[in-house]
Amino acid sequence: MSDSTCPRNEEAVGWALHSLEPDEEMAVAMHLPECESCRTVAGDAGEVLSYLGAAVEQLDPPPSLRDRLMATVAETPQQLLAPSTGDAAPAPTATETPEPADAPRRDADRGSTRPPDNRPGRSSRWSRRGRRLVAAALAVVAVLTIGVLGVRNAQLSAERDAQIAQITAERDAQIAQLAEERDAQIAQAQSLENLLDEFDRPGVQHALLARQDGSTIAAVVSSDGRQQVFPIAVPPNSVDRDTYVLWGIAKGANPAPLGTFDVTAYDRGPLEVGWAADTTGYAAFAISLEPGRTAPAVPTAVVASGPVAA
Amino acid sequence: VPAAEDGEEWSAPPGPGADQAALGAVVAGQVRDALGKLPDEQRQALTLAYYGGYTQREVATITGVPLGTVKSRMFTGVQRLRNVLAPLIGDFGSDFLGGAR
Repeated sequence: MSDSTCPRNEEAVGWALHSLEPDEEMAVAMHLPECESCRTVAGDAGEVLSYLGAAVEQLDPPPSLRDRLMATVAETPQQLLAPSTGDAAPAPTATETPEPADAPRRDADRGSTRPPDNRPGRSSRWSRRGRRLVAAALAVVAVLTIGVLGVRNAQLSAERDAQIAQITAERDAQIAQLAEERDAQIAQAQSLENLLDEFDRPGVQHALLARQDGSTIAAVVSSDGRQQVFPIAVPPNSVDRDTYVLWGIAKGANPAPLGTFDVTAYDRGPLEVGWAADTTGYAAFAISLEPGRTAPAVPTAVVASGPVAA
Repeated sequence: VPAAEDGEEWSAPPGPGADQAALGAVVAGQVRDALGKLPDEQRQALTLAYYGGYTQREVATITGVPLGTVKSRMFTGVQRLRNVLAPLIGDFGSDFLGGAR
């Protein structure tokens, strides 16, 4: 048994018994992957319950048994639970007019018909022998049912284990993805905070770099002859396949490569790029994504660009 | 209800070997004893659910007790069964049940 308990341990046993309503069943199935206590309880209960199935002897019935059973069932007047549901039993004299339930003495007037509540009465068509036959048949059915249930229970347990494993795996993957997104958002917020701090310092130039659709995805801050790139919303690159390149654009000149940098989901800068270069002459900056690990002479795919703010 | 099942449901799976059959008879006896030692209301709740296939709510309706009581009866009943059957499960439980799982 588990050392710790969970308020839902009782539900876990009900689950192992396959005795919950569908909504409860779903709730427990969702709960089990995250509760070791309930998993233990359900597993232990399943083990015990397997013995209940194993406790019943498995019989191999003769093929003719089913036919005989069905024949017996067909010949047996069916006992109805409610008088208002009509009379399905082969008792012709009672089928024409349903009797009101509050006429208990009428059956005496109508000879051998059954009493109005449809239960087998004193003059029932059920012979003692017939009842014994049915009782024996039901006993056999019960034994067979129990044997089948035991096997079925084991099959269901296996299916259930597979379902739990699948739910657990899917949930773990979702959690990992959510954690990744959250870390990326934290990194992005941290990056913006650092950027705003930089803007406040005196003697600092900056450029906001936007994509062609106008959305700002990065900033370049330069001061004291060095520049930092804040890749706020730049998509991460494949470090083993390509690299980002920062370009400085002076008036009337071709873009000059200032340095390379990589963007990961967790590191949103600031990144020191090409800080040995003299950047005071540039009117604009741009970043491009380049195949390989080195900067080409001219940019191939400009990701974002923007002028230096006055 | 078996009468509505396919014909093949009627043939039990191939029986275990003679040794296992003997072992099974011992296990069956012990499980029946364990069931017999349960308080009546716990045995009733468990057998209705396990052998009868009724849900806890249906068992509550059939026996006329609150649903919460049925849940705790089944829980306690299973715990008791497990305690009584602990030696059995520990000894050769996996061997005996191996074929059925």
